[in-house]
Amino acid sequence: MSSSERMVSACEPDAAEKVAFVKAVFKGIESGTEAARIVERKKQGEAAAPQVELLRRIPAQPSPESQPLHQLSASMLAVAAEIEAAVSDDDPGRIDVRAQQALMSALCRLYAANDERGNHFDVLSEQTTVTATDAMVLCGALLKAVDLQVFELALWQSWSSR
Amino acid sequence: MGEQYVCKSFEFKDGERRIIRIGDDEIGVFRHEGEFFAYSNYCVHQGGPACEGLIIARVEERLRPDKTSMGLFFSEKDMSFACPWHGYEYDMRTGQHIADRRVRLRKYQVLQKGEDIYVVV
Repeated sequence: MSSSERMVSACEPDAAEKVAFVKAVFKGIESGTEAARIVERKKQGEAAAPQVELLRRIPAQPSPESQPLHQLSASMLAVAAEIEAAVSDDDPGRIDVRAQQALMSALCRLYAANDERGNHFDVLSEQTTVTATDAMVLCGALLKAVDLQVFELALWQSWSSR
Repeated sequence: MGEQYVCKSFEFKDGERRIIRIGDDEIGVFRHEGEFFAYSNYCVHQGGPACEGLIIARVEERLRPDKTSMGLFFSEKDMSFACPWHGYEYDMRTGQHIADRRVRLRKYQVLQKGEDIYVVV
């Protein structure tokens, strides 16, 4: 036997493997096996390619800026921006004390009136620049202005379940 | 898998999100200020639906020239989205966690061909 013949015989399957192969061909591919799934995928071709499935659509979050404003509200926003600018410029004194008192008084009454009518909302927006110290300074000053102690505030909150 | 068609650009309003499934991947596609971004919808923290939470502006502290603080402000240009499960917050443009840039969501390329939007998987 030449060397090339020996190589061919070494690569060739033995008789038992040939018999197993013929039996498998005759039997066909058994359903439920991985081989059957591969054939099925090949038959489906394009249909087996992954499809884009839309699970959820989440609409854009409504922005407060998109809502039309009443003229008075627009004017108040403009005034608020002016006040913020004065504070940022480190020049709060340029706003007259009487104007500040009038604004504070009006806003206190406006907020309380809304609250009484069940129109509850966060007193400060998410974009607020008010710090915890600012809030405590103002709360303390408001309580003092109406001659109340923190104890009385706590008592009222407890009685009224607020 | 290549490019996968999502929808027409005019069907996708600014600020809107779409959660899609492509094969085994769940992907959140965002349209923010006219640009499209797509990230894996599995939060790197505990696998929550990362792309379905609030979209909020980044919180930043502004300083005066002498380095005293002017307080905390919401950024006017940088936006984030937060996983609704535990609040892991990711940068809208990069998908990186805002506190630790090494942590990021898997990002997918979004292609716009004419009016058609595709995600590259």
